[in-house]
Amino acid sequence: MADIYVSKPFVRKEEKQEENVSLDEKEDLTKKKGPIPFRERKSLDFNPIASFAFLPKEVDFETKNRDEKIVLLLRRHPITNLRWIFLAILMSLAPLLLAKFPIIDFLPSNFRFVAILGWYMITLAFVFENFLSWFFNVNIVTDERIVDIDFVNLIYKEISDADIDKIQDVTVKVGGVAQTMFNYGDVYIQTASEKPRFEFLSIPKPEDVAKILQELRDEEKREELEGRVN
Amino acid sequence: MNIDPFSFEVWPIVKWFFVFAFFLYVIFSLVVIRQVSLMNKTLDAHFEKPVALFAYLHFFFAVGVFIFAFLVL
Repeated sequence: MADIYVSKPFVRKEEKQEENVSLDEKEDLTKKKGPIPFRERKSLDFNPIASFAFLPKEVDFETKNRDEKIVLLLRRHPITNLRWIFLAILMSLAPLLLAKFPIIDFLPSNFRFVAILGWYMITLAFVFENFLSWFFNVNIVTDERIVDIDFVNLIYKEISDADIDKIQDVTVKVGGVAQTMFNYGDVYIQTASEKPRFEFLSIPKPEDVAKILQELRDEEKREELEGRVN
Repeated sequence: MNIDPFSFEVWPIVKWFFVFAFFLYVIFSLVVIRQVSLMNKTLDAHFEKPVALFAYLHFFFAVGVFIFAFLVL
């Protein structure tokens, strides 16, 4: 009976070397290779007034489906609030200038006091409205779609969304000293849905957002292909 | 010599102007409460209590100033 020669399974040199690498080192290698898929990333401790929240577990929104998972909650970078904060400080200090510029001195003292009280109420309303506008105008990325929640004024709101697989093009725009220094910018998303363009304006870490959107799009494509095969 | 440009009859009119302006502000603060409740319903970011509390404080402050203006002026 002829002997049958069974060769050893062919193993590439690189693969052989990889076997010897310990598990910890393997983890290091994956870190070095590039961005970690968002599903493998850990959610950070949730801060309700953060402008970049990754996998925020506690957040919910009106049109969210039960099995939908929020991947990103984005607001304008906090530095963009500096303008109205500065203006509010000036407004609250303005009555002190009345000592030097007595423009309301023609009023009796009780009228003057009430006028200053009214001024502070207007300042308070200005601060509160600006905070509300910053806090509630958010962009949300879920594992299924992107959602843009806009409160234009006191009584008008607009909620638009587009499925991830409808995204055609993502453009990141970072320009200017402040945006470069504080790492924030605009992300423009071109879609094939009813609303053709989504604008995530002045959001922190725009490159990360674009990267995560790309991962989600890839995943959607993969799911679609797997669905077709099955 | 200091000359008062307004006669005595002008100040009650000014008073009602102030009171009306504060009344409008009270209405505005009520709209803010409604707005905050709608916003909290739209986005639940676990910060609804402080925001709603501030909206109510703002309303009570507006009512307080309205009453104060009505009594003092």
